[in-house]
Formats: sequence, C-alpha cells, structure tokens
Amino acid sequence: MLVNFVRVFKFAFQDFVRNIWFSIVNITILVLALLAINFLIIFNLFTNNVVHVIKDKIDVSVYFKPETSIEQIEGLKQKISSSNYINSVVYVSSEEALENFKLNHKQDEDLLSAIEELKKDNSTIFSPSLKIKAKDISMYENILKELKESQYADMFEIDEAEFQDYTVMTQRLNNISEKIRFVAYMISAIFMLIAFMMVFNTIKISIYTKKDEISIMKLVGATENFIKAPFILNIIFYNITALILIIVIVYVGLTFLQPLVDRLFAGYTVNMISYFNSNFVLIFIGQLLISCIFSTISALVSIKRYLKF
Amino acid sequence: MIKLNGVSKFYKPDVWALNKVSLDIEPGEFVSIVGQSGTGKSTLAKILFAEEPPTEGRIEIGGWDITDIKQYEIPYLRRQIGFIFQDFKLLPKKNVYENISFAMQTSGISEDRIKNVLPQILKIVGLQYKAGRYPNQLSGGEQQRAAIARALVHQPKLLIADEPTGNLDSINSREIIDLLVRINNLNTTVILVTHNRDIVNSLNKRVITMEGGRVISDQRRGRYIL
Ligand SMILES: Nc1ncnc2c1ncn2[C@@H]1O[C@H](COP(=O)(O)OP(=O)(O)O)[C@@H](O)[C@H]1O
Ligand SMILES: [Mg+2]
Repeated sequence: MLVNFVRVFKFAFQDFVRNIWFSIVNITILVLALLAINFLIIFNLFTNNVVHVIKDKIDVSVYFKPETSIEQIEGLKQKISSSNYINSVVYVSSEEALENFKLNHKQDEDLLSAIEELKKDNSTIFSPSLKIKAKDISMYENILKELKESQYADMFEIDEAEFQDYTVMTQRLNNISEKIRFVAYMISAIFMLIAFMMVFNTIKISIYTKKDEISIMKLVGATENFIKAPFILNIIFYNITALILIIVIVYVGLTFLQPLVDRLFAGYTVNMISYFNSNFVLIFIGQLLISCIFSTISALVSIKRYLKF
Repeated sequence: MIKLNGVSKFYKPDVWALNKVSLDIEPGEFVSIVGQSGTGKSTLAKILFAEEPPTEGRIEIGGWDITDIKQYEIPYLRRQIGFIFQDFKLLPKKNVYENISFAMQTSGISEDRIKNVLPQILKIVGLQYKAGRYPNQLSGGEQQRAAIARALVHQPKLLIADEPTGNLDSINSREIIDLLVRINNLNTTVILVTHNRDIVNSLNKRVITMEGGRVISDQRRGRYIL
C-alpha cells in the first residue's frame, strides 16, 4: 500500500516534468478560470460599496423655526433617536450651519461678503436643524410620517418633497444596482462557464494524448485506481500551483486598484486588501476546492472511456 | 492451459470475427496461429487477455474461467499472461529500464525484487547495455526485445505474441523467434500469431490455420499451408 502510494507520487512527478508543456498549459487555463472567480468577488465588493456609499451620503434635515429653544430641539432629538427607522440624528446649530455654508462656498467671494453683510444685522440666517440619517434609504417615508405625527410637529418645517425624492431615488438606486449586479453576474457567469469549459477541454485533451499510455498501463496489469491516481494527483498539483499564482496576481492587482478605489470613494475606507485578508481562507480555499473538484471530475469523466478494459 | 469451447465474436454491424472456435492448448506448447489478414487471429488473442468479451462460448485459462470475467479481475489475469504486439507498445517517455520496472511496479512488486529480477530479464533479451535508452533510440528488434522483457516480468505461464515480427526485417525477426523458442523451452506456453511462412515452416511445431473466423486446420507438426 505504502509502496504504491510512493510510486503514484513518483509517476505523477515524472509525468509533470516530462510533459512540462502540458503542465504549463493546464496551470495557465486554471489560472484564467480562477481569475474569473476573483474578478467576480472584486466586482461584487465594488458594487456593494458603491451602493453603500451612495446610500450613506443621503440624509434629510428638519429645520426649526427661529423661536424654537435648544431644549425643545433636544427633546425631539431624544424622541426620534429611539425610532426603529433612524440610524443617527445630529443637531446642527445655526452657527454650524453658517460655517458649513461658508466652507461649501469658499470660492464664491460675492456670496460670502453678502453673508457677512447680513450677519451685521445680527439676524439668524440659517435655522438650526436636525440632520437625520435613516437605517435604510427606504425608511424616509416612515420617518416623515413619524415626524408629522409627533407633538413637536408645529415647531419645524419639513420639505416634504425632499423625503419623497428619496423614496423615488431609493427605488431607482435599487433598480440600477440590481441591474448592474445582474449584468455583472451574467457576464461573470458566462466568463466562468467559458473558463471552466476550457479547463474541461484542456484536461480532456491531455488525457487524450495519454490514451496509448493508458492502454499500455492496462495491458501490463495496472488496476484502474493505479492508472487514475497519478492523473488526479497531478491535477491537484496543477490546482495548487494555479492557486498560488492567483493569490499573487490578486494581491498585486489589488495594490494597483486600491488607490483608484480610494479616490472614487473619497472619505470612505473600502480596503479591499483587508477584505481579502480577513476572508482569505473562505475565498482562496473555497476556490481551491471548487477548482479541484471540478477538474478532478473532468479528469474522471474524460479518462473513463479509456479505462474500459 | 487454454480451453476454448465454441467461442464466437460478433462485431457490429455485421462481422463474425470468430465463428465457433474450439481449441485445447496444453501447458508448454508452442502454437503458431496463421491465416490471411482479417481472419480473426487478433480477435482470438484479444479474447484471451480479456480485451474483448466473447459473444458466445466459454474460455478457460489455467483453470480460470474468464468468460464472464469482472472488470476488476482483468488486471490480475493480465499479470499472469505476457503479451507482445507488432507495434511494441512501449511507453515513449520511459526508458527501457523504466518501461519494464513500470510493469512490475503496477502490480506492487517491491523495489528490492525489481532490482534483483530486472537485470536478469534484461540479460535474457540481450538489452543489459541499453537499459537507459528510450524507445526512439532503439532499433525495431531491440524495441520488441524490450517488450518481451516486459512481458516476462511476471514469469508468465503463457505468452501471447500477435505478429511480433510484423515490423521487423528477417534477421531481427529470426532473433525474436529464437527468443520466443528459448522462452518456450523455459516451460512457458507460447502462442504466436504470424503471417511469416518461413518462420512457421522452420519452427516445425503445432500450427493452427484460420479462415473466416474458423479453424480450418490444426496440425501437430505443421507447415504454412495457405
Ligand atoms: N473493433 C472491431 N469492430 C468491428 N470489426 C472488427 C473489430 N476488430 C476486428 N474487426 C473485424 O473482425 C475481423 C477479424 O479481425 P482480426 O481479428 O483483427 O483479423 P486478423 O488479426 O486475422 O487480421 C475483420 O473482418 C475485422 O475487420
Ligand atoms: Mg491481426
């Protein structure tokens, strides 16, 4: 038994070296197939974050009438903070609102000097407000309802259109992201199907080229398992080599991609490398298993017709 | 050694390659099977080492009824029979030594025993100095001798040779036949399928003549009669 095990290893290794070009082709095709899988993972990560970032940038503000006291505002804040629909509520005082406005219009000298003029009258230009972020973009409508029904309803003004816009926008965003994702899944599914068909065919061809060898092995009394084992062993070896290459390719690719993503999602950290790091086992061992199982089945299916004694 | 009882082989769509062949071959015999091309000689050989199942009839080798042999039993049958073919069937990517040791390794023979036995077998076939060569570095006669060496590793009681000299010139053919005779003298039953009139006539051993899938003559000390 042990002797057979050692022999199978030896035959597999000899075969790998003596058919080095076939080994290289097999590994290359596997790398391409795995590339398709990783492309899908990265793309999925990317679209998820795009949607997340867009949704995260959305908030609505409730503007209070100038006579509203801080206590009343705090009261409303306390009350709605506990709402099921709301993720966060931030109080923006009129001074802060002014500062933000100035910051946003740094370039516009005329506007800024106009604001300074107004300030001299000591009038409040910006109302204090609460900036509300929903737990999910679809919940703004419910929030609007809650606000209108609350006891503080006459203290503030709500731009109802703003809330309704978000409802429409939500639907659009969800629609678009769903569509993008669907198209992406289709493309990667097709890509992956082609890649795995290539894997299947390469294995089939490499077994075809060995059909004489297989028939000779049968002739000298090799059992079925003794014939299959070196093939399977080599296929596993091809897969492991391909996986190592793909890990290198993915990480090198990510280091180039990361700055682009950082620029795109300014202010949000979407660290793809740490995503891959923290899911390393799941992603890569999962891939190894999938590709090993697939290519082993391909080999077993292809070798079957030559094994009939 | 071998008993065939009413063995027929049908190939789709319409060929009866063997037609009710019955034969008895004793241990230690040297039997030549002759006949024109397409008369079923190779089919007979294939049925003997279970490459093809018979359509009808019974086959027994060394007391083992292989008529309905199971897939998994076939390797064990083949380890008890040696075969050689017109096209040698050597593995091109293995050298002579590896081709022969491979046949031993597949059946679980220990490395020690391989190291012991293999040089002796190489000496029998006269390839002791060419063990490291690959098949494409050998002449046809040498390749066939390597194939014979491989057939001998299990010390078979039966050696089947299907036109082993078909690709060889007359001098090389003569050498191969002499080798087969020597192996036969060591008490191995030899079945030689051949076309070669001179060889058959010079052997002066049992000759079975086939035509259209039937045995048409079976002579104890025969000559090539076609
Ligand atoms: N696999 C096969 N399928 C169909 N016909 C076959 C097959 N093998 C052999 N035959 C036919 O069977 C007959 C006998 O073939 P074979 O045994 O090879 O003859 P021989 O070895 O005497 O030349 C021939 O007519 C041949 O065409
Ligand atoms: Mg023939």
